[in-house]
Amino acid sequence: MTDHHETDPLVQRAVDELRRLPPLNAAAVSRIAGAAAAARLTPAEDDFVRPPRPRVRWWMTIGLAAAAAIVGFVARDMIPSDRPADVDVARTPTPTVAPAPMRTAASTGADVGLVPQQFVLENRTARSVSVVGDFNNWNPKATPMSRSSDGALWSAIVPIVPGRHVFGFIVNDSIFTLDPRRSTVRDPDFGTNTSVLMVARP
Amino acid sequence: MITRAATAVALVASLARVASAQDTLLLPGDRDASAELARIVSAARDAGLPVDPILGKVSYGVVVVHAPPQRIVAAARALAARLEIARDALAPRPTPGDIATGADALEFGATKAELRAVRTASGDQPVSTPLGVLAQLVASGVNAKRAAQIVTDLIKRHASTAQLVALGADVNADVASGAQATAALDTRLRGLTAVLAPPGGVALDAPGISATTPKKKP
Repeated sequence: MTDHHETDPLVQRAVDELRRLPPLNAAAVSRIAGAAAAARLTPAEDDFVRPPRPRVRWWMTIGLAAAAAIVGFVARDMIPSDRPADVDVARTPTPTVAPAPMRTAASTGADVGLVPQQFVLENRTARSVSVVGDFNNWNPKATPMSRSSDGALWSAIVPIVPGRHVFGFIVNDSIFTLDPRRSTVRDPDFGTNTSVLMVARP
Repeated sequence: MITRAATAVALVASLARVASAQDTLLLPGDRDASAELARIVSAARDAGLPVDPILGKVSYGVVVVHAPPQRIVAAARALAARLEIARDALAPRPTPGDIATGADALEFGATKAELRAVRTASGDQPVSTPLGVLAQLVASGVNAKRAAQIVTDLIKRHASTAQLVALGADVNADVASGAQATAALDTRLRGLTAVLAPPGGVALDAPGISATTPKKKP
């Protein structure tokens, strides 16, 4: 206790009152503590004393989700957006982003990261274009390309492991087309041409 | 086309899953070729080789080339052999990507010794990019021995992977424009070596040279 406290009349009075209490009975303290320990609830028992949670039926959840979707759909034009209404996206298609392909970190070791590569093909008359190559097992369904709003440009972004890759485009689900922007190499096994892409480590 | 492609993708997927079964129909209309393909993939996997490049070659043969089954089998077998040579040349710890790109370089005429030289020059670094450039130079018509020598020299001079890739792409583009491969390489190489360290100056694997622990004077 400091001198400051002893000089404070209120504190001094409290100290005097506490000193008048009888000394603690150790046996009584032990009995009280033991009784408390014996009466303590286990976690499992504790559930019984919790107030019951209101039960949420599955149809309530679906109903709420449907209501939220309807409200969102109706109000979609009422919410202000930062995007200008007259943005010309004719030559800037949103490119397809393909999932991790072959020759990726999974197949080449964790020390090699994937490098996103954009593939672009100009073809105004195509109905569909996909990029195929050794990075997606030449699967025409793996990486469909997105068409720009003016219909001239097809593009896709594919994360690719660094190294040398061969690829091409499948136009209208049937025509294999080389990339005019890339160099071409002949496959010695089959004697056919493919486009070549070299990806450097970042 | 799309049906055929979907069939090809499905067969390659099944090839990967059930290669050990060896009798599953993998190539439409040719059970023997399918069984042979399954054996090739299974053997490659058992040998610790990456099988993705083989499956990719099969898909390419079916989807793009529409090659006959026996030709696809032959290409898969040849690729499996190249993968094994590349794996041995790039020992002790090549990544599957290193092995696949090494097999590409072998396909265009590089040798096992040239792959090993690139591996040695690269130290512990992944070699898929340098080997890809080697493959590209050889595919462009550069002599394989000279291409390997140049790639190895550039690695020792600490050329970045971007610089290596640019060299391969530039030479390839020059050749596509009508230039001779050797002349294109010399021209592009002159521009690149001007900005790199002198030969041997920082080569960490050169005898008696270390970048971090210089020799003590007597």
